[in-house]
Amino acid sequence: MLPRWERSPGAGWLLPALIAVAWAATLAGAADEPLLAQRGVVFVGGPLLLLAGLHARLADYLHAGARARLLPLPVPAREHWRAAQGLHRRGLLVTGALGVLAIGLAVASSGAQPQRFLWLVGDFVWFLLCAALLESGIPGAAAWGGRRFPAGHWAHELQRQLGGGWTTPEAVVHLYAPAFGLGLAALLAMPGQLSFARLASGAALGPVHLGLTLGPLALALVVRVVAPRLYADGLWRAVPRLQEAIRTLAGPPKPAPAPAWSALLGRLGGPHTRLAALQLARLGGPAPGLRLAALLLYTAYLALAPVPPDLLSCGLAVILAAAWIAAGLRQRQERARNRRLLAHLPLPAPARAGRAPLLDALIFAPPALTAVALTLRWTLAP
Amino acid sequence: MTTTRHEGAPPLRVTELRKQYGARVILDALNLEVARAELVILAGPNGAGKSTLLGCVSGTVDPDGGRVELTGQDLHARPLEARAALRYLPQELEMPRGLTGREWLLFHAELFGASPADARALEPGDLLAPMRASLELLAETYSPGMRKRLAVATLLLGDGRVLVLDEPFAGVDRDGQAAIARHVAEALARGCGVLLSAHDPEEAPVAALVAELAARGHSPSPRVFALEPRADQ
Repeated sequence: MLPRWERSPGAGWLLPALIAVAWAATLAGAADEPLLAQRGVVFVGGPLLLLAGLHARLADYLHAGARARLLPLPVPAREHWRAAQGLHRRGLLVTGALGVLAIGLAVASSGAQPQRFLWLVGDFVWFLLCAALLESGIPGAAAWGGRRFPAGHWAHELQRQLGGGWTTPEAVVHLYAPAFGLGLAALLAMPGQLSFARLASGAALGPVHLGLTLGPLALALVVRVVAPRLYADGLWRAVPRLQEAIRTLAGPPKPAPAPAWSALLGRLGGPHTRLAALQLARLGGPAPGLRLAALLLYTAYLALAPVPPDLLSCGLAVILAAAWIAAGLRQRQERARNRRLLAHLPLPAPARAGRAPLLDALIFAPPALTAVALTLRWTLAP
Repeated sequence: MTTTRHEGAPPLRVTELRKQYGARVILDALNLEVARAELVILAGPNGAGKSTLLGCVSGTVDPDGGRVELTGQDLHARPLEARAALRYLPQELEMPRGLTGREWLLFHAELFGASPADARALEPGDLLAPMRASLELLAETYSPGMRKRLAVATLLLGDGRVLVLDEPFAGVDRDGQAAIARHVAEALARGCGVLLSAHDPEEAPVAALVAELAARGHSPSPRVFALEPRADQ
């Protein structure tokens, strides 16, 4: 297995987990509706759930820095493919488990019959199977189509037209392939899901139904088999083009201004605390402040709500806490580098070891507060 | 930071230093002293232990025995006081993720007891002027040459007494090399002790620095401290 470098804590499961909670709440809200209505929610929610973690799952195929760094080495394309598959498979497994859990939570909280759970899970797992096969086609197509083609070539014209002039032509495929892949998965899963609906209504499946169910699956299987070949054809030229596009899209690497709270922390904890706070603000993923605010507001709501929190409320609290902690963990990933940078500077020993105790306390205090609030509400519940 | 320096002590004194990795002894009973205003060129081939010695001196490598004193402060017994006098330039220059070059400069200014104005005053200088527009960009995106210019600029902040420079001229253009040499010469003129590692003390930028010091009539004269790979390795 080839080495991997970058890891964003939670990227593969955090957003899917948030979507899964919302999905479970929606499904639970439709508990009194007929099975058909809940199947509709699964039909829409399944692709949304998979879309949420799609980039994180597929990042190792082409986007990861590891691909660019290893490119000068004589590493066969199949090794690159294998290295990326680990993350992809784990992501699919986690996302699938989250989906099944969401359906289970929704059905359990509404007190519906287990049979309903099985039909809903059947719909989701069928779509998941199609998506698992087709998702491999996304990096395959992206590698093949992410190269430069000669002027006049149909692929070159397609790149130019779809790019709209605001990104490099070779990057266009990376914009469209993921959504197209999952859309195709939803489309191919549909006949099978309709067959399940037929079975659920008590009707039998004829040869035509079976053909319409299994035919699309066979097509997805073909995509799965062809994908590594496409990837091997395109990898060597698509990766440099993608790196170029990332630089072009990102523009000059001018970061957002330092937030006021980083200066405040610096005054309280010293320059190394401000350094860590800046890293938290800029590397901790999107909107760390919003994540903290969401966690604190929800904690306040749980503490003051007239009834003790139910299972879904607790799940949402856990997800919000994880969303905040993930931002902190991203900063903690910088510890090793910070240790190397700060070891020779006149700083206290913890700072020379790359730690910022004040910031650590701030990262872990809000989730601890949430846990205390939940515990108290349960303990004091009549 | 308040420091108590032993004014009579040399900027750097290494006594009976020993370091081994596993069974492999890299440094054994090594003694070295860098006097005020003295340039010591640490020379030797690959594997001679130059970087290990500089690591021990800068506190990034923990020696197995011996003592390192910076301005009379024991590096291990008084880590903060000793480091306040130290200005270390590593060979492999990493930059912190998420910080701009200017923020990294200001971080050092605060740490070394200099003012933000001192840090800003460096921007139009010979080291940073060519990359001034990039100072508001993330430092991790800098080229090796820009990193070195920025790193050397951070060494100029505050009241450093010992410059420990690991291959300071590698990876920078000729103007950058000249700027670095100029600042090293000025630091020596202020009385700083400088320990500078080089594969070859005759290499052009080092030779130019030595020639400039000679032209200035600088005393004491630069000295070469040669390390050789141990024969038993």
